[in-house]
Amino acid sequence: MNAATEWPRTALAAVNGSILWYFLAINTIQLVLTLLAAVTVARHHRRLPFAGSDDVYRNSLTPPVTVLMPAYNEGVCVVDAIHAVLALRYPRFEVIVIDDGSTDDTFEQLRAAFDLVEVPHVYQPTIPTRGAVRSIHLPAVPVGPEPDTLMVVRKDNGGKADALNVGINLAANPMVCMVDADSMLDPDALLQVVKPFLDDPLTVVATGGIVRVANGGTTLAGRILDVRMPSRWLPRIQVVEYLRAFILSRIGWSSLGGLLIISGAFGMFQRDLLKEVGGLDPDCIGEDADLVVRLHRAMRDRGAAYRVSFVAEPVCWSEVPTSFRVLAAQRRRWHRGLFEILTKHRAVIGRPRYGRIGLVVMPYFVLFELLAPVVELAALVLVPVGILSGAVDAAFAWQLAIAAYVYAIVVTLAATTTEELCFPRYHRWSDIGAMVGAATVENVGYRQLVAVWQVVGIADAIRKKKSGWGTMTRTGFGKPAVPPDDRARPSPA
Amino acid sequence: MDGAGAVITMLLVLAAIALGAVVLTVATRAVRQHRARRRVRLTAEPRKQLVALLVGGGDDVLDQLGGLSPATWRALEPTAVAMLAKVSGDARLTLALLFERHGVIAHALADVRGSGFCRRANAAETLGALRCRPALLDLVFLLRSARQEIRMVALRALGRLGEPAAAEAMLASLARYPLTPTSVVAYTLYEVGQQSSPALMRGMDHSSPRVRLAAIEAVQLLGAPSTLRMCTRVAHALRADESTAVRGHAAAALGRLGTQTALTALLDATASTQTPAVRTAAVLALGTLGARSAVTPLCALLADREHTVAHAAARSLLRLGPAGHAALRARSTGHDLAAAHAAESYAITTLGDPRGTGPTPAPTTGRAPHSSRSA
Repeated sequence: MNAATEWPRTALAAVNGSILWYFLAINTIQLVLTLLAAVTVARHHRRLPFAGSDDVYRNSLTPPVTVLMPAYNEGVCVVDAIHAVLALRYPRFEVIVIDDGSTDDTFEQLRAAFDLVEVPHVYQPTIPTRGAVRSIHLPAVPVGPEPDTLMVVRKDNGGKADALNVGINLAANPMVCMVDADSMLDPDALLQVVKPFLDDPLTVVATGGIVRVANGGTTLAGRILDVRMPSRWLPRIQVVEYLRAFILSRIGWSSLGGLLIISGAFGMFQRDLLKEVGGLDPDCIGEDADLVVRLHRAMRDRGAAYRVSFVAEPVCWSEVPTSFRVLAAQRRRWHRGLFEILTKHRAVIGRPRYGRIGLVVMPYFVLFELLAPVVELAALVLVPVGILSGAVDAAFAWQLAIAAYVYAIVVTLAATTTEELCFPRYHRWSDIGAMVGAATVENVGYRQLVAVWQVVGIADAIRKKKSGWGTMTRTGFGKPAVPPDDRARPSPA
Repeated sequence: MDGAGAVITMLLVLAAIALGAVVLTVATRAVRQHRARRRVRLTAEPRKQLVALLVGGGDDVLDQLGGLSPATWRALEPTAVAMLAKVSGDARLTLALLFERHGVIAHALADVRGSGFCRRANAAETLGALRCRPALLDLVFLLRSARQEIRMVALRALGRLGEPAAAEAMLASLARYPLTPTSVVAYTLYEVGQQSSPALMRGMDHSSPRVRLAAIEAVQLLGAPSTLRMCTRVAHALRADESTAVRGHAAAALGRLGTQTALTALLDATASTQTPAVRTAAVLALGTLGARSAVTPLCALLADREHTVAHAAARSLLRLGPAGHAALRARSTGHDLAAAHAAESYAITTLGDPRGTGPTPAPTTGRAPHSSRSA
C-alpha cells in the first residue's frame, strides 16, 4: 500500500474522527446549558414568594410600556391578538399596531373591530425608515384609559424591521415591547418581563421571555387555556426542539451573561437605547438577534456595565408550522439570518474587548449553530464513504451514531425532565409519552431535513437572495373549531 | 477498551441517563399530582371555613381553623396567604390572628434572625404581609444586608408596616447601597404615607443623587404636600439639582402637588435653558397640574423646536378642559408645525363624539411644517 493511496484514507479517518468529537462537544454543551437552566429556574422559583411581583403592578413608578405589533397579512388573527394584548395586566401601556402594507384584509378587520378613525399626527422619526407612513388611526371610542391606548399605523411595505422602527419612532413610553401578531401572551407577561428593569434599572438593557408552542392547545379570546402536546408529529417535534434549543439553552446562556438572541416574538427594550443604536436593521433577516448583538457591542464599546436578561417566568405562545413547506421556509430564513448576523458582526468574534460575547458566545454560534447542519450533512456522506473505503470501521460508525443521535435524544430528554421539574405546562400523562416519542423521532429524518434547509439558507445568504416577511399560514385563534391539524384550538363556547 | 467495548459502554451510560430522566419525569409528575389531590382533599372544608371567617365568622370559626392539624394548615396556608393580599380591615386582622395561632409569626421572627438567605427573605415577606410591628427592628436590620434581594424584601415589608420610624433607615440603605432601585424605596415611603415627610425633606437634601431621587419620587407618589415647605423644596430641586433625573421627577411631583409655587416653578422650567427631558417633564406636569393659567404659555410651546416639548404641550392642553381644547382648536387652523401639533391633540377631543365635528384628519406629516396638511 503506497502513500499515494493511503493519505486519503488517513485524511478521511481524521475527518470522521473530528466529526465524532464535534457531535460529542455539541451535545455536551447543550446538556450543560440545560443543567444550568435547571439551576437558574430553580433559583428563580425559590425567590418567587418574595420577589414582590404584585408591587410592580401597584407601583405608579413602574415605567409605562409601548407594545409594538408589526403586522403583515395577519387578517385572520390580528383582532384577537390585539384584544388579548389590551387585556394584559399592567398599570400603564399603549399598543401600536403597524400594518406594513398588508395586501389582505388586515386593516379592514382592525377598522371594523375598533371603529378606527384617521387622525393627524406629527411624525418625526429619529430612526430613518423606508416604507412611508400613510396614515394613523385611533379607535373612535377609546379602548383603554387614554384615547391613544391603541394606535394603528398604515405604512408602505418595508419589512418587519422597518415596521418596528416606525413603532419605535412613535412610541411615547420609555419601554418598548415587541410582539408578533400571532403571539399570545400570558396575562402577567409584561409585568414579569419588565421586572428585571425595575430590580436593576442601572444595568438591564433588554429582556426576553419564553416562547412556547401553542399548537394543540385550547384558546379563548387570544389566551391559552389548556396546553397539550399536538397530535401530529411535526409540531410535536418542534415542541421538544423549542424546549431544548430555544428555551433552556437561552436561559443557560443568560445565566452566563451570554444571551445573544431575544426572540422577535417577545422582547422588552429601553426605547432610547434602541434609538441610539439605530433601531432594527431592515436589511437583516434576523433583525431580532442582530439588534441584541448591536446592543452588546454598543454597551461594550461604551465600557458600561449592562445585562441582557432572559426571564424564565413569562410566556408567549406562538403557532409553529404544521407543514413541511412552511417549516422549510422558516428554517431556511432563520439560518440565513444567523449567517448574516455572524458575518455582519465578525469583528466581534475572538475579540477580548467584547468579553464573553466575543470570546465564547459568538465563536460557539459559528461553530455549533451555524456550521452544525454542514457537519451533520457531511457526516451522512463521509461516514459511509469512510466505511466503504476502509478508513473507518463499523464500530466507529456506531460510536458516531451514538454520539450524534443517541446522546442528542438524552439531551432532549434532560430538557423535558427540566421542564417537568421547573415549569410544567403539559399536564397529561400522554404528553410525557408524546415528548419522549418526539425526542426520539426528531433524530430520524427531522433533523436531517432541517439541516438541508439550513444549508440552503446559508447558500441563500451567500447568493444574497431576496427575502421578505416569510409566509406562515395563519389559522387564527379564538374562532370556532375547525378541523384538526393541530392548530391551537378555540375553546368550545 | 476496543471499539465494540466503547460502543457498548457509551450506549449503556446513555441508556441509563435516558431511563433516569424518564423515571424522574414520571415520578415528579406523580408526586405533584398526588400532592395536589391531597391538598384538595385536606382543604375542602377548611377553605369554606376560611371564607366564612373573612366575612364575619365568629370566634368559633377561628377556633376551628386554629385547631387544624399542621399538615392541614400547611396545605391551607397558600390560600390564606393569597387572601391576605386581598382583604383589609377586620378581615385582615382576623386572618393575621389565625396565622399567629399557627405559630407563623413566631417562626418568622425566629427565621428573620437566622441564617439562610431564602429563609430570612421568606420570613421578612411573611412579617410584612402580616404587618407584624414587633418585627420592625429586625426588618430595619435587614436593610443593612449586602444582598440586594434581602434589602428589597425588607423595604417592601417595612412599607407594608407603614412605620414612619423606618423611613430614615430606608433612605440610609439607599445611600449605602446606591444600586437599590429608587422606585422601590420611593414606593415603600409612599406606603408609609405623609408621616414620612420629615424623612423625605431630609432625603431631598442628601448628598447622594439616588437618595434625593427616591425622596422626590416618593413625593411624586404622595401627591398633596404635607407642608408648603415641601413644595418649596421640590421647586428648588427642579431649579437647581445637578441630576437631570431628579429635576425630571421634581417636575412630575410638582404637577401633583398643585400649588401656585408649583405652577411658577414649572413654568420657569420650560425655559430653553433646561435640558429637553426636564422641559418635557415640566410641560407634562403643567397638564397634570390643570391650571388654566398655563394655557397661554403652553400654546407658545406648541412652536418649540424640540419635538418632545411641543408634543407634550399639545397633550397638556388636552388636559386643561374647555379652555385648553379651545386653544387647541384655534391654533390648529394654521399651517405650521405648531398647528400640526395642535391638530393632533384636538382630533383626540372629537373621539367618541358621534357627530365627529373635529378637524378633517390629514395624512401623517414629515418634517416640513406644510406637510402636515398635505393630501
